[in-house]
Amino acid sequence: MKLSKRIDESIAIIKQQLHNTSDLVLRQFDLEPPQAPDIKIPCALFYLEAMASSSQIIDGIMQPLLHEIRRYNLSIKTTFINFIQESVLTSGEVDKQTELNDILLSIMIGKVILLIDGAQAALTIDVIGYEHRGVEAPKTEAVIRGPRDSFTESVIQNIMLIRRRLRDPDLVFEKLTIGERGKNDVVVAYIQHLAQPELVEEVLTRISKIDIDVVLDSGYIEQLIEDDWWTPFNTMQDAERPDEVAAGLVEGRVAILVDNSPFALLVPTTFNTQMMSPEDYYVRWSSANFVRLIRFVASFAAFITPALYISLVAFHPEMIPSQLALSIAATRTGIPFPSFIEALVMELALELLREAGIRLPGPIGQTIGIVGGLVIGDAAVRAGIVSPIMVIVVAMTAIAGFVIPTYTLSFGLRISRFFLMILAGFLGLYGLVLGLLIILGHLATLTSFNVSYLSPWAPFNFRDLRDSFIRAPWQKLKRRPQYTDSLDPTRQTTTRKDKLRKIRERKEK
Amino acid sequence: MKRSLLVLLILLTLILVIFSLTGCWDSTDIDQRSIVMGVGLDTEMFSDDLVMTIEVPVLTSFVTGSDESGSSENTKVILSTSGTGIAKMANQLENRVWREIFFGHTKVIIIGEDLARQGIGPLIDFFDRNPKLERRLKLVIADGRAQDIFETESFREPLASVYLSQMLEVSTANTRLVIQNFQDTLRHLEHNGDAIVPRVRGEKEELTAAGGALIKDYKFIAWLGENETQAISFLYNNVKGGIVSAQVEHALYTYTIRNSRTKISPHLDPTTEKLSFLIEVEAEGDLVEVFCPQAQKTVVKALDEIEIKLNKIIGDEIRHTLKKLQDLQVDPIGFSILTKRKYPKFWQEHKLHWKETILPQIEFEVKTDFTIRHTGILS
Repeated sequence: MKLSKRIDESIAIIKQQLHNTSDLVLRQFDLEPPQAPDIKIPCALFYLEAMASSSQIIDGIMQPLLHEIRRYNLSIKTTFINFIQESVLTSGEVDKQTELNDILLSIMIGKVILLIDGAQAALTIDVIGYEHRGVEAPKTEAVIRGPRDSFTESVIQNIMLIRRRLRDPDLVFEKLTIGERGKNDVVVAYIQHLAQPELVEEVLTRISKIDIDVVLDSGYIEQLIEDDWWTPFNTMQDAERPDEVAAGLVEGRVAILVDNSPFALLVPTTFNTQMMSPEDYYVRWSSANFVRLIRFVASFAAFITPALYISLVAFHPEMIPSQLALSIAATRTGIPFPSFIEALVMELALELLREAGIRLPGPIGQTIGIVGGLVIGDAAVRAGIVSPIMVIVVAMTAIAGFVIPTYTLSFGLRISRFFLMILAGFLGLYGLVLGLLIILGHLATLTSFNVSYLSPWAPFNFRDLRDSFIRAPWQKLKRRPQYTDSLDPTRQTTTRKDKLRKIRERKEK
Repeated sequence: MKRSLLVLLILLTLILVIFSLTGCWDSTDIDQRSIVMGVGLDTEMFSDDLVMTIEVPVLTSFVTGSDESGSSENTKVILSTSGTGIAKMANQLENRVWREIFFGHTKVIIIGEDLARQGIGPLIDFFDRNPKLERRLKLVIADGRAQDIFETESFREPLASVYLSQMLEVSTANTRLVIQNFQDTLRHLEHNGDAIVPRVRGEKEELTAAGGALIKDYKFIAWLGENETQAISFLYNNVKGGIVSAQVEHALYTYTIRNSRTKISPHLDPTTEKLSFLIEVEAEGDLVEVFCPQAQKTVVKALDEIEIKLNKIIGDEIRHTLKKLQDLQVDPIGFSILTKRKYPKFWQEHKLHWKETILPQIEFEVKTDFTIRHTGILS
């Protein structure tokens, strides 16, 4: 569908197409072309309220059109609309569009439309200026040492946050519009000559195949393009921190940013990459290794402790040290439930507290945490519903569970924990080991954009082990990780040690 | 669609079936078991039956920090029953405690002297078979009746079994006990039926563990004194501490043994077919005390003179003990194993009458080398 040559007809068409929605603003005025004071050309501005910046409309559009237009000379060679576009308007981005659909989409994005009588086209002027949240400290990936900014809902701002860290002309942001009705911006970021082209191609293909109404968060994209959507484990990493994304990009990974979502996605993702916190790379390697060791051990503890408790208490009491066995048995006397039910109820109560803590408004959420954790726990022990050991087990699981740096991964582990508990409740340690094997087998079958989820452990990659359970000193991390199959595998051509040696040699000469 | 519904139904049925299994699988919560800390075995006075005694802690008395746990309460229950098989008697006891009898935390098995003389082979079979049994538990022989051991009141531990087992474990610094766990004892017994297990004695208020009981062909035959037990510890190469003292002139020199190493090597004379063993003991020790009742000021003699004296004391103890073992025709040290390994042919010829003819005629050469390392800070 096209516009009409007559402006009043065009106005009517646009109004009708937008169902005369109440936030549509129409401003009509007459233009006086220079050197022809008697001619008046009717014009019209269309824009959506609060989507376009009103100060920019005044300074960049109205002011030049109504007052400064007289200073210019209208050449005979050009049409009036081109003259306006090229010479008069001072705003940044001005396009001429003829297709009605494009014009409507421009209005929806927040651009201003200028209709001029006699031209069968419209000028779209980019003065987008809607309100959005400023950059704040990250909520889910807090660090002590390291930058404190995090992504916001504005994809433009998010791109800026990454660009500020990587002033690389090779850094590319490819924009796709996804969503039949939402027409949302999805931006794929990667570094040309570094990221594997096949990977980039695969990401772009998968995203462009999405056919959905609206993309409200990066979670939509994640779930629609991941390799395996059955598993409780996520095969795409969500990142709230621009430094994390920048680090991923220089490793040869691909990032996906979604407008209106403060979480970027990083692919390929392995189990290993999700156990890393950005802070690991900012603190000295000895501290980073110490923390990583604790993190891996604690995650495993959080994963199996309740199941281990059930199997030891209900099936294999001979494996508990005698003194402890006696005290567990003593504190358990009078508890009306078998240990399996006891553990299940307590773990569910913990999940309940966690969920309630998230949903409740800020200050009340904290209160609920304390009330739930201390008061209910203590009261339950006093009332003889659960044993004190069980409270210790649950508290340990809860605390240890929070060391997993990626929230999404800890979710997967939490769900599997119940699977392990049920197996342990029916089969004891045999069931626990069986469950661990099933989960391990399952993890081994997972892939993330054709990268094995358990890499670098399976398939075994010795070089990548430098950044897994341990984090090698930066002097030793000369190469990029191999799982991304980066085009440029070298990260540091020379280390500081080599440089110092060269300086010394030069001095000796 | 129908197919997936069927799969769902089958899964649902399977899950529901699991819940009907309650009670018939081996899940028994820890508080639903009677944790037996010690087992005592004795002869019945007027019949051939056995008497089995178990010590079970009263769980509520172990709740620490709770206000209700009074010290006046009973901390343990001692139950006895008589019968023939251990498993059968355990089952009889189960009816009286109304819980599953659980041997997973058993610390000691005490066998009364009278019963031990009749033979311990049949008694340990049940425990040897039980996979849940902790293999580090201690098998001991009571000087008297095993039942009495549990009745002793100890001021340190509410449970006699726990106290006894702790005593036997801490005594690694004390060579007057042969420290062996159940697994070691079984290994010795399986080889040739001979072993040495600790002796315990229980009087009204006191529990002592010292010396050893000599077992020959699964039967208890004689007690070993404390010095003899120390010699056995040297022969087992299991001395981790303990003291030796020597009287030189008027002073008593006492040394702690820091570490010791014993090497036993058999030698068979090819012409005379005479078997001999060379026993080399190397030990190090520190001087801890010179006790002179006569002189007000301690006089330290030359160290090498004391070393010679100590070597003689240890050597004599070992020689004396070996003589005793030879006289009793018992081989708990495992000289037969060493012979079998080095001279398999000789062993094959003589294995049937080893203890009777070969063992008493073995010649032992004992070499001891005791080195004094520290003499303390007193100059």
